Amino acid sequence: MMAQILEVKNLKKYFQTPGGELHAVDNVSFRMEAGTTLGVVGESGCGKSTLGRTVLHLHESTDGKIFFQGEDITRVDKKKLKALREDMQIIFQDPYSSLNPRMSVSEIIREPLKRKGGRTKAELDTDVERLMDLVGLAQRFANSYPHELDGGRRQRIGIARALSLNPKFIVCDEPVSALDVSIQAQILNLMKDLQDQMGLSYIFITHDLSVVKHMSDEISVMYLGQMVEKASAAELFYHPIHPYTKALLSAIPIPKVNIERKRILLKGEITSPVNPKPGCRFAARCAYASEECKAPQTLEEVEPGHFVSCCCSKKFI
Amino acid sequence: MRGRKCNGPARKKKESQFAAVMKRLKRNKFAMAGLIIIILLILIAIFADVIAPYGYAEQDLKNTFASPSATHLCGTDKLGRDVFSRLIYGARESLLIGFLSVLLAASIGMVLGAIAGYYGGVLDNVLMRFLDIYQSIPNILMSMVLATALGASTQNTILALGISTIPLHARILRSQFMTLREQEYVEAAIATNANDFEIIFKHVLPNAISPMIVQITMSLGLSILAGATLSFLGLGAQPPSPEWGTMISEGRNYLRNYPYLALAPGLCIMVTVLSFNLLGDGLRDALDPKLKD
Amino acid sequence: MSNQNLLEIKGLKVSYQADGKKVCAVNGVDLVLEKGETLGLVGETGAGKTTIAKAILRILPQPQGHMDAGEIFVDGENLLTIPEAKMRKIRGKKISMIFQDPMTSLNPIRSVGDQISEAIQLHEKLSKTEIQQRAIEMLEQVGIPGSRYGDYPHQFSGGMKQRVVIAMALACHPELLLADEPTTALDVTIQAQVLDMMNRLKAEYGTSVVMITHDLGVIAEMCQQVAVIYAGEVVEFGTVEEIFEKPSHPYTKGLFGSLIDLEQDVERLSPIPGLMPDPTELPTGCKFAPRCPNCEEACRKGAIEDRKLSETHRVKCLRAEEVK
Repeated sequence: MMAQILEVKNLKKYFQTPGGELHAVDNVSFRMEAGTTLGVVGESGCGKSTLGRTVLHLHESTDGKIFFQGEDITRVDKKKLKALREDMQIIFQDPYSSLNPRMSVSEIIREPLKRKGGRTKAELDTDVERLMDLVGLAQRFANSYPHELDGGRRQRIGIARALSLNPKFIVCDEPVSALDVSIQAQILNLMKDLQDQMGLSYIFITHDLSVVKHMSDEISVMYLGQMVEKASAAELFYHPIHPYTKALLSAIPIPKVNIERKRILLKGEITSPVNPKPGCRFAARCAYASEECKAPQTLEEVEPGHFVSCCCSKKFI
Repeated sequence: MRGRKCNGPARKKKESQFAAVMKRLKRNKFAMAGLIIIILLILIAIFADVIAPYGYAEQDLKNTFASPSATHLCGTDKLGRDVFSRLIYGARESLLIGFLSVLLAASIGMVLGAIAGYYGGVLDNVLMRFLDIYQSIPNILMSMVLATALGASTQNTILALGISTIPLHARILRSQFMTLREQEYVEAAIATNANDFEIIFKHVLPNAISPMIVQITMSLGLSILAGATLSFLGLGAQPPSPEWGTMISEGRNYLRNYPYLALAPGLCIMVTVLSFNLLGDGLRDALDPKLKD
Repeated sequence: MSNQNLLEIKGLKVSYQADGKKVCAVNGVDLVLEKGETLGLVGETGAGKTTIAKAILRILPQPQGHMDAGEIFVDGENLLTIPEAKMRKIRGKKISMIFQDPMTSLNPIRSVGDQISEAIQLHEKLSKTEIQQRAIEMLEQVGIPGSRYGDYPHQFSGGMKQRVVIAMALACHPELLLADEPTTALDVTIQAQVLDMMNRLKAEYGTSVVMITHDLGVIAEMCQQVAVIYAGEVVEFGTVEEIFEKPSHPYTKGLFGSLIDLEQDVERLSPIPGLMPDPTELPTGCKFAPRCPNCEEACRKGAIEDRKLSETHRVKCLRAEEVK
């Protein structure tokens, strides 16, 4: 049996904005096993990035609990946080703004190691070389600056930096969204290889459904701060239950000709997560919405391993 | 060391950022002209004693209001002092006012701006409202009041100009810090356990420094101009000091008959301020690390 | 030249001057688009797709951009030789363009209705009320209630803004619409709405569309003809069936190989190795040769001629027939 690496219980992250309370992450719970990938998918503003950052303590959670390797890390002191951050890392979406333009490639990769201390200069050099080899960056780029490199190589730098402290768990926040398809495939392969080699666990955040299917063992779908459905990748794609998941899946443009498909076109657009009303947040766009949907929804296991947050889910199974 | 040996072309030699900036700056002819003039001015200011043919207070009462000639390149003034020599000593005076007042304003302003921008919140609010009030008083008025209160002298001009321009520097660095602290590479640094000190000095400040350098270069020109204004009004450097503004002030009475007495220092101020502005403009482009060579 | 062709591009070459270097953005492109059809231009960032569209409208950035060679015929008229004054009448009327970013295409301080009206007023002699009528009609066509005529761009969401941009582009019923990544900035469910609407309006007005995108899914859904662009060249051109079912250029095959198939589970993707060549130092011969698995000596020498695989299908590869 695999060990559990992360568990999140009723996690909430609210932001105070001039318009009111923004419910970026609202009552999200999940658990994941070591060495697996949890895909988090949703459209812009659904809170998926905030979720990843809250788990990493880059944002302080408003409420709820976070367990890492069985240990409650919801509130930790500075010393503990320092140790935690060596185990939990992040890879960013934008390979431009996530790298300091004034630092060379080797300086960027070296920085976390240097900060950790306990290594001689020669050891640091060896480590940087090893990391660059690991992510497929040629050594001749060691003294280049990020802006001299293309997006794919820049993303490799970001990955090398995240791996430098030898983490167990990485939040990948849209790591390939800014890249062209052929480069995207290179980076996805690299990330899978690294996972196999180092036994990493990923939270893979993306809006791209095909990418999330390729990368994930389990997928959770978020809508306006809430998790509306969670299942294994195959189950979610072949047997979606929540009306939003269904619409989302049917909206993917498929690169094939002469295929029959029924597209569910949603009315309207995502509303704002500021001061949301209780009840199903998708109801306004849902073709099946009824009176029942005005009550608060809970994530329920409708089939083994398949969780849905929809009071009408029985109708859709 | 397998990587180093087998990886194709040799590693790119690390090019210092200064060299890269100079390379880009060299392409801008106007900025280079500005830079050369400024370097010349600084040399003139330093070696004024050697270059100037006469002392700045050396009087020759038999030879007042002499026209420009080989012995007196820019003629002499009402006391028979050599105007050319006074202009040379004036460079020392004007540059000193410019550099020291900007040094004072920038060092205080940057610290305030950095604190306000990085920590934000209440501290930022208090500091910024204070600066709002501060800035609602016209710059020249504040320096005049300060200069009057402190007494007219070169040192006090520097103090007055320095104090009155603090908010300019504070604001620019604050807005830089506010934008930069939200960058993902700062988040990445936090995620790898960087402390505030490292974040400020390694990730934020180096990226905020370019606009500050531009701002400082431009303010140098402005401060020299403001210094000259104060002296012209009699609130700055005092006679017999050869500050350019003082010289214009003295020369303006003879504008009709001996216009070069006021025009020569005026021209010096113009060229100096223009040079700083041209250099500042050129630096703005040259300092952008994203511009390719 | 067939009468049916609305757009015909022959031997188009465009370059930019950047820091004293010549950037060869478009290197001899031939394209045709029949009336009422949609032509997809697909390729990666920097392949030259947008430059082609800008060249058609003659809005290349000045002074860096330079049209080196070629002809662009719209309805049999060479756009590159007509005077600027006449071109101005064509832009927005006969040909209009939708840009990728809806946020920067709209003027933030004018109401969306005004902006659509202005587009109409520039090209049509109508009274004020008629213009306003038409603008409201256009808004409703793209699914925005006419009552929002006086609203400002910031009051709309991203998807709605892109609809406004589309309404503006279609306001004068153009014959040719150049759509540059019109849905890339949008979420999938919104993208589905916008694509659906574009297809509907296209059928209604009989507009021909040049659809620029990097998304093969969008191409499959919207286009009849596809041109695959690589390093400023059309490496493969054909009907959507030919491109998707019989891709023949190794780059096209590589693109499909990099995609994730939702119906199959594969452990690893097969990306194209390497990167697109630097447009300031393009290789002689086939531009794809350095990344091509089937490259041989001949590929590196001299320009590669198009091979015709069928009446409608051509490919810029020496070994197109050999390597299957």
